[in-house]
Amino acid sequence: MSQFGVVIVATTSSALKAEKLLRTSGYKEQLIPTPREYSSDCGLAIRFNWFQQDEIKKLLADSGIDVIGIYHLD
Amino acid sequence: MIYLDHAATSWPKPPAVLRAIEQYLNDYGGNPGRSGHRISIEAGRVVYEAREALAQLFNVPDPLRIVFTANATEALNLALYGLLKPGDRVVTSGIEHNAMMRPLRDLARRGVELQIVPCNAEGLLDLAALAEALRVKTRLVALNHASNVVGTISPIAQAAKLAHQAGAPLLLDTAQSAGCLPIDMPALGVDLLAFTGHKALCGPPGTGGLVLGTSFDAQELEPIMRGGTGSRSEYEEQPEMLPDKYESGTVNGMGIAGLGAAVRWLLEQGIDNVRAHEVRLTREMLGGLAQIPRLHVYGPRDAEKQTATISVSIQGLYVSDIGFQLDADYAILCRVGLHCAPAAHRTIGTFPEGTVRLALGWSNTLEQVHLVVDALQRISSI
Ligand SMILES: Cc1ncc(COP(=O)(O)O)c(C=O)c1O
Repeated sequence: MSQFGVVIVATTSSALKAEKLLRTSGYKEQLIPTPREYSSDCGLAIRFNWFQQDEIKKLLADSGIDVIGIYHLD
Repeated sequence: MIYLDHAATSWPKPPAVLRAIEQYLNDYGGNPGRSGHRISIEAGRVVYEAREALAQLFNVPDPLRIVFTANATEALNLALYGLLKPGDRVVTSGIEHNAMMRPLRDLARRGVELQIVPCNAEGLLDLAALAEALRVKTRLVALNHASNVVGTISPIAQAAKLAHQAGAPLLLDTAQSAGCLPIDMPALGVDLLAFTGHKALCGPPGTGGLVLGTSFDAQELEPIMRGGTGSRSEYEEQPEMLPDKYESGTVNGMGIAGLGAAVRWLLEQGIDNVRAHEVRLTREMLGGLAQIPRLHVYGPRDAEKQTATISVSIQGLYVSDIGFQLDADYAILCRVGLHCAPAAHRTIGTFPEGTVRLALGWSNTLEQVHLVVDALQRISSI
């Protein structure tokens, strides 16, 4: 397992919205092309440090962004 | 040269707009939202930031409820064709632009019931008549915020209240108001808002959009175009998520980059300050025009009750001749005729002759206003 997790969202606009939210909340995140195994709901996904998954899950849930899934990257 | 055609399109554009367009094409013009590489992401970010600026301008919390279109016309078509089905009833006013009226006339031909509430000769919506029209079950109230002919500002908060009491959402055409009048969607009670980027918003042509207020359920609105969105690519059905549901095909990235810069520039200036500047110019112009004997001013003739758009005619002269003289002899550029709004001209009593429209904007000065009044004075005394 890697140190990274990935947030899969429905649209590019949501990905950019989530990226901005994480960045302005002080997380080190990165937009990446969505890994194939998580389908292609949206071409962009947000990669983050997996050890922060709990805080990030909560932050995203509170924001109302339509998150499709949050996974630990291999 | 004096540019008095801001109601057609604003000119010049703030320098930040040109810079943003150039930067977009030079530095990061990938396809926004399609690919995962850096200049596609950067382009997507620019588009997203334009949504953020517009969301702030109209006071909607979620930037994803800003749907980009090519202009106000496309936004109005999306709202009207996406919402209205045969048998539905729609109420509009007598001061509409053809961007509203032509789709409505076409929908009426297809079985939508259309009622047009009259406005008075100054272009002001008759609220009592609107209330009366809303006694029958109505699917949508669709109104112009400010007249492109006489600048009259419609009583939107009151109209929205009446619409909501009757269970109908309000669609507002802000082509003439966005950027020069403060617009707070929830405070005004606007559910759907169509805007165009190239007028008082000071952005480039080819930009506009439909804003879905928080009060509006997107389930109610069908897209009018379907296609690639960069999302849910494995499905052959249109996605339901905003804004993708209504944004098929590659958006006008460079235009939206310019529009975003324009809106941020406006927010820095402060819409209230822009409005105050235009009220000052309008008051001065109205005062000067009132002194010219054979010249008639249409509309409210009150700077507080209108935008900086003023329509006039001069007794005994064709409006086309006045327009030509203003351009040829004084380098004053305006638009004469019917301004794509035959309904509005019928309302103010100037159909089919039309008027000379003096449309002031952010870039005009008091000195220019005085030169224009002098020119019209001379033209009318020949
Ligand atoms: C009141 C009004 N509605 C709609 C429009 C259409 O705007 P656009 O041509 O940008 O679609 C205009 C501008 O011409 C207008 O003045």
